[in-house]
Amino acid sequence: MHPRPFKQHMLLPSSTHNSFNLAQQSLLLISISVLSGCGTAPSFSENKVFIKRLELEIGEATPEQGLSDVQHVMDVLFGNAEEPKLPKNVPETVVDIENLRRSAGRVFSDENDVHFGLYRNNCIRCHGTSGDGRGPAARLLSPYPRDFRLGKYKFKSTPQGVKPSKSDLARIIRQGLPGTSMPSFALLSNDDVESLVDYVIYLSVRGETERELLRRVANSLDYSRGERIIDASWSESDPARYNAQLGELSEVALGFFKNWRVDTMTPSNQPNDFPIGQASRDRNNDSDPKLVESVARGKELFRGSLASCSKCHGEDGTGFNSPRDYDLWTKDWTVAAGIDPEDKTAIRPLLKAGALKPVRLYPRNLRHGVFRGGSAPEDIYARITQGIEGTPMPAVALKTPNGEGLTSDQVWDLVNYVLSLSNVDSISGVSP
Amino acid sequence: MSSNSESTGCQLCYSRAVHWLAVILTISVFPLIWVGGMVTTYGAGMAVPDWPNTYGWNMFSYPASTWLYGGFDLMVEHGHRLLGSLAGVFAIGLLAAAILWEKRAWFKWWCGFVLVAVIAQGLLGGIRVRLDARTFAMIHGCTGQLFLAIATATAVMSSGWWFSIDKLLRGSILPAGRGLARAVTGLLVVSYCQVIAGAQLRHVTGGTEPSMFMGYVHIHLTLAVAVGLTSLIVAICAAKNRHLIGGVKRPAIFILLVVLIQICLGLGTWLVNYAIPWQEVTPELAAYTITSKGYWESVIVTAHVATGALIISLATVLCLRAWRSRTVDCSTGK
Repeated sequence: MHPRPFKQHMLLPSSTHNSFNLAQQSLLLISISVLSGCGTAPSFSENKVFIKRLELEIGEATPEQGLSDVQHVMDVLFGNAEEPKLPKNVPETVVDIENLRRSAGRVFSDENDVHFGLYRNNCIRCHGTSGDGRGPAARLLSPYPRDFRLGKYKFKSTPQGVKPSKSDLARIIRQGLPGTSMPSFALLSNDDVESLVDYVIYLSVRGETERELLRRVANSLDYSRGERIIDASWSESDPARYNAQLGELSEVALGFFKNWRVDTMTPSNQPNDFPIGQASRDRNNDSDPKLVESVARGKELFRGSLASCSKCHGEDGTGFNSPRDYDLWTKDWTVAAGIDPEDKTAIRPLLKAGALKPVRLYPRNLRHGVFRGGSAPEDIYARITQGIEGTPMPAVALKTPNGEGLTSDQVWDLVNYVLSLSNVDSISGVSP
Repeated sequence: MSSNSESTGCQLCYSRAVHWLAVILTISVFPLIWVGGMVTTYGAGMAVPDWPNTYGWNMFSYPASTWLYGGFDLMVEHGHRLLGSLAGVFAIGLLAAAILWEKRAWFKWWCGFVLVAVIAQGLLGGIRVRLDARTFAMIHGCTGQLFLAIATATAVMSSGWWFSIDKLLRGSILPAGRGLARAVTGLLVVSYCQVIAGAQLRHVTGGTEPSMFMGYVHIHLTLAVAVGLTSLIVAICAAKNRHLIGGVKRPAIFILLVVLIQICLGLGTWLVNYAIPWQEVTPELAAYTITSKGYWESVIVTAHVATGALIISLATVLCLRAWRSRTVDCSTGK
């Protein structure tokens, strides 16, 4: 039997070849959606928490017209959750529009097992449509899913303040984060992971751009005197002005995209003649006197004032008695707006706007030997020297020729001590 | 419809062919629900974008080499459709057998209803694909379990047990008490409500508000407690009554075991989907990393769906048998 030719347009959401006509389809769909209450199509939502934060900072609400203008710019520059767009001149090495098209929109796969709608199928339940870390399940998770819109990521190979490399994001997607709800997507193809990395960057830049435009509307423009960030009607009445303004705003987005042109950092290689302990016990060098000495030096540094690790992690490395603190994603709408995260009355309007209840941040319990940024000695070295972005975990200062700080060998001593905390029985002579 | 006359005056009504076709239909629906559950687990509902055809081919002539050795999503979705068709064939056979050999007129109509139900279920699946609407996927999932209950009811009402109830209740053997019959009816209703709540969680979209999702989780947990307690009450009542007819007693105790397994699977489903929120308790939990769409997720989550269906099916058996046993007058055995 010959197959009937399969029409590509059947991949589109609404096919003209359906046995129902459009009106019947719509009526049926709407009735059942209303009845079941769950037919809401995912769409980008505005950053209501940031809008509320600006209102609290400035003391007056951002004008509705301004919010609507910002959303117009966002739609023009970035498209929507079904059909993403990119501003002009975004380097393909940063984000490839084809990758965005594979990740966005509805979930389906074709006869060749190429998957589409990757973000909706794999990420949206936790990270939300806009990447706001406020997906349907977010409230029940600990820690909360990452809000991409701040453009900050914890576990990366780059220094503080620098965007992660694409391979950093790919690593998190492939390996997941132990002890969290972030799963390993090791079963996805490399193409799928690459597409998702591009989509995460797209959502990050979209979020950063939105914040910047909202800030401009709230701080720099006087809407009561007719100033506008853009007016959609200019595209008809004054195209030159509209395009010039849009071009300027597009440059803002482009600037955020360019921040993502980051190469992977060269990992800090272990020094050749330096004994390195291992959390796993496969090295059989735990009784090496040099290692024992290194661990002892690391212990001193850990508890001393130069590295001051024990201030948060405690002398025993458990971190149980750490000072109360929160991560950047909570501080962004509390401390940054002059609000105490503990003040239930003050945070109420922001919770109402969609913020997730502040959850206290605990330092890693080093006795478990599980490190979310990777448990290899090189990973721990990177965590010590680069810190964890968005958290109180600082980057230690490395010794400069004239200043204070830790030498590279001292950092390796710390690495050895940290690894020994979860492996205390096997390293003789050093008590934790 | 079910009366003493059915058991006494209709001893010869039992048709082996009708009963076995109903049993085969019920058995065929169970793997259909498994595979349907896998379709949702893997997000494979749109792996075949046309319906009733498959990539332009007639569904039944689609090359096996492509769907068996092609993509996994295509395999489960097309496999689900073929299994659904098989259930449809059994439903046609059941109706034909009922027309030929069934004596009860109402049961012939019931078998017609079974065929209509299986067609409607197939159409719902088709609409889900043609409209690419997740809401329909959710409804299709719920009605699938309802269809299993209908198929189970058909098997129960055509069984030899159904016709020989008056013989079974002779001597010291007693029918189900009114309280037990009511409890198993409650169990059936609550179990099905639980399936609907679970379907809301399974088919959640990015547009769902966190508060709504949280609400569904709370409803699902509350109903889990309700199902657990009701099945415990049913099992205790059945176990304590030494004279209770075996056809009610055995499934009443068995359903408690299945509910306990289901509660474990429910916890496992959360664990493989979202992990637990207090992972820092032990090094092992702190090191636990979920593998998305991995082996354990596909097995545990899908088993949770299928075990939910099994509970509905068992509750249907229990409910029908409990009420059926009560239609016989114990003093006369009629």
